[in-house]
Amino acid sequence: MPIRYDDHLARFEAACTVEDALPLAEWLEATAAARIDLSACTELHTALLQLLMAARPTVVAGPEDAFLAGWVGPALGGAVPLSSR
Amino acid sequence: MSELFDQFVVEAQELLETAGAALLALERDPADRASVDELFRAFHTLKGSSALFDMAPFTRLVHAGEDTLSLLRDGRRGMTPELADRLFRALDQCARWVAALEETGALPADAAAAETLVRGLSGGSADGDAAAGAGQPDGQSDAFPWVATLTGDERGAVGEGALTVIDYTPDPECFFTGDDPLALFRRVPDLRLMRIEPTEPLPPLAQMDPYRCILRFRALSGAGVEAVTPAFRSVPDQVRIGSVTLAPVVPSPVAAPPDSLAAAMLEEQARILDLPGGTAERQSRRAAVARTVTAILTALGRPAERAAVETACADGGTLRRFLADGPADKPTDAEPRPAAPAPSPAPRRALRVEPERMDALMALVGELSVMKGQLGPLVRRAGDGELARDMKAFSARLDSLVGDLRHAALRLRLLPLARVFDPLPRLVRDTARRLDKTVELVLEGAETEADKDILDVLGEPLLHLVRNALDHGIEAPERRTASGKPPGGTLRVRGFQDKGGVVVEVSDDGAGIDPAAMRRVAVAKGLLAPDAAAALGDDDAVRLVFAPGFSTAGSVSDLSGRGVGMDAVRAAVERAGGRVEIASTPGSGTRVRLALPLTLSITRVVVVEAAGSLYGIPVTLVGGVQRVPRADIHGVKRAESIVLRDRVVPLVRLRRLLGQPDDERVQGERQRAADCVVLAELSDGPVAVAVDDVGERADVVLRPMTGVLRGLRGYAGTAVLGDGRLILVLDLRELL
Repeated sequence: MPIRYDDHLARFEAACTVEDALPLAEWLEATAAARIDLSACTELHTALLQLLMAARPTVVAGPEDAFLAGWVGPALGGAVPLSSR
Repeated sequence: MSELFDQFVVEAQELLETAGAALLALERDPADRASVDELFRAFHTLKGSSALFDMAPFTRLVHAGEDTLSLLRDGRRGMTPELADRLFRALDQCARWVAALEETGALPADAAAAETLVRGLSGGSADGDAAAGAGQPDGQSDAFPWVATLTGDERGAVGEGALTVIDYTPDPECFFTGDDPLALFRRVPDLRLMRIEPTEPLPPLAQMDPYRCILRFRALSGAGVEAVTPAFRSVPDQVRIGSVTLAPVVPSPVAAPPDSLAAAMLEEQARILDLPGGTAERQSRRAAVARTVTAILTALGRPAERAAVETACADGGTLRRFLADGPADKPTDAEPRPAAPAPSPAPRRALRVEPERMDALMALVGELSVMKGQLGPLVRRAGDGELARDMKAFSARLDSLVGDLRHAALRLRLLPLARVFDPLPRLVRDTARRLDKTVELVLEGAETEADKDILDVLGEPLLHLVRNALDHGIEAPERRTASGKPPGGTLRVRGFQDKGGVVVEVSDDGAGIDPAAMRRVAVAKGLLAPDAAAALGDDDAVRLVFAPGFSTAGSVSDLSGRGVGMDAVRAAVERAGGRVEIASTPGSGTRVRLALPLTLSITRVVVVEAAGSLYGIPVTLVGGVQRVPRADIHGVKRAESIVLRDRVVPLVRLRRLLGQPDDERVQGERQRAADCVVLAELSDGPVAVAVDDVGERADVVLRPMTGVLRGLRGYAGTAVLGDGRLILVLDLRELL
């Protein structure tokens, strides 16, 4: 299971695919003050990204994957500072 | 919403359809004057009628289209596939807008995306054919207006010099085809900047469709265009790639720096031009606006010719384009035009009725048929008297009237297959172009009529089959030539009526399906044991494409077979009580045939009897009814089979399926010599169903199970026969 849901925290692990979109949408909708942990996420499908952009959960840990950290982190509210280039 | 507005929506849909067809014709034959004229008229009428409502982006887009077409009409611009792509995109955008207008009464807030389309159209027209003819997306910075709006930080991160710009607006439905737009950017070398933005304001989460892509990607890369392009090879129609050179400041021809006071003032001038008012009023406004614009431009240090400014002040859209692109080639309004508003084609004499009312009428007609059926037994009970004779005559007349009424009501719901055929030419064009194949589409029988519900069922599977045939059926030109075929493939879609139903056939002259390969894949996927696969006849092996779980992976396309989602096609057709058949000859092509009942509201069933109760089996599934001598039934333990038409067919007993005891009488003294067997053609193959007796065929109004019975599997619903008796209509697929 690429996304593990613990109460108010969703942990994204490894490659998270479009199949996670519906469960994620339902979880985001049902969870007040949702928090997400992207640190172990290596791939994030666009469908998941746009759900996160719409729901704006608190990002407790940004992605460690360089591509996601550089481009997706900022789109999710800049919890991860843009590494200066 | 006002009637005028409703009228506009309906008319716009028709015009867009006309324009789409004309554009296809024009692309095939660029010299086709009639199509250019028709296309021009459609855009022109759309421009005129949309201007009546508050939808400036729409008007602007069709206006740009009209301008381009007038160049085309005057021979000042040639038709190219790239130009056709742009016009198609503009039509698509309009169609999406009209759909949104119909639903919500307002345009969605994606005007920015449209602005790119407008530029795509008018940008090309300003410098003639150069850009379009080269087959390259416009590489100028004004084709990517957002580049000029980078923030200071972004400019710092991006650096200066020659950069490659990527504008990628994924198809909203792209998730279904397995695209992951974000992932494509991992393959972009030297990515310097990426903006991920929603194409429309993000809706509240509850209203969001998680499977619809609403993001847009804009990026800059330090690598060259040719190094970036391969990353987007799979989505050429959704991405624009070009090069820009970023100097410390990016001046565009006349434009003021965005967000400046001057820009706001200029925008206000354009808005003033679009304000409603009388002719004289507008005239004087125009003069004032022209003076103001000239003054602002002079103040900005970019004086423009007075005459050019005055021409540009014809309306808001022209002024905005003038400010963005510099003076246009020609004054758009000097163009001789048909007297405005253009005479719209005579409105079709059509009456639009809400579907709910039709359904209510159909339900009533159904009830009436049933009531009429109950009159027969009553009349018989009345005996032989004079009264009875009169009643009989009356009943006969009522019979024929009810029959006519039902026929007439059914016809109301009939629509030509053209409705589902219409999107095909465009789909084939786009897909073939993407795959670099030449395909001729032959449509036959578009006038064949079928119930609206059936057409709704048919639409998706048909698109799927056509896409499949193009993708996996028809080979690339080199391969075709190598096997001695003409380089262009032919795809034939044929509709006709048959046996009380409607049939649509999709056939191609492509590679066909190799039964041996199908067996191998079935074994490899663990769907069949090796010996079972080997025992499978060629026809049955080809039919494996419909097996669930067979075709979801890419392996089938590697075999140049077909298969993506074929089980979905089958499921959709069977849900509507229809049937899918496939026949394929390796090397010479594949034919898929969808057979559907004429209507969903009335189902024709064969009435059968088992253990004293009546059941119905939909006629579309019944391949035949016959008596089979007991001696011909081969039994291995409780599994029985018979040989029918040289095929071994498994035999099941309806009594056992329904959990009823075997017929004691039959087993006992009055041993019957033969069994009554209904041959059911299911898509995994035929099944013989033994029943106690077979009765009439009857048209019934099928009522789905409701309440606690809804969970009951194996039944499609209940129905009342003409004589008032209740039957259960079986769903054999579930039951078996």
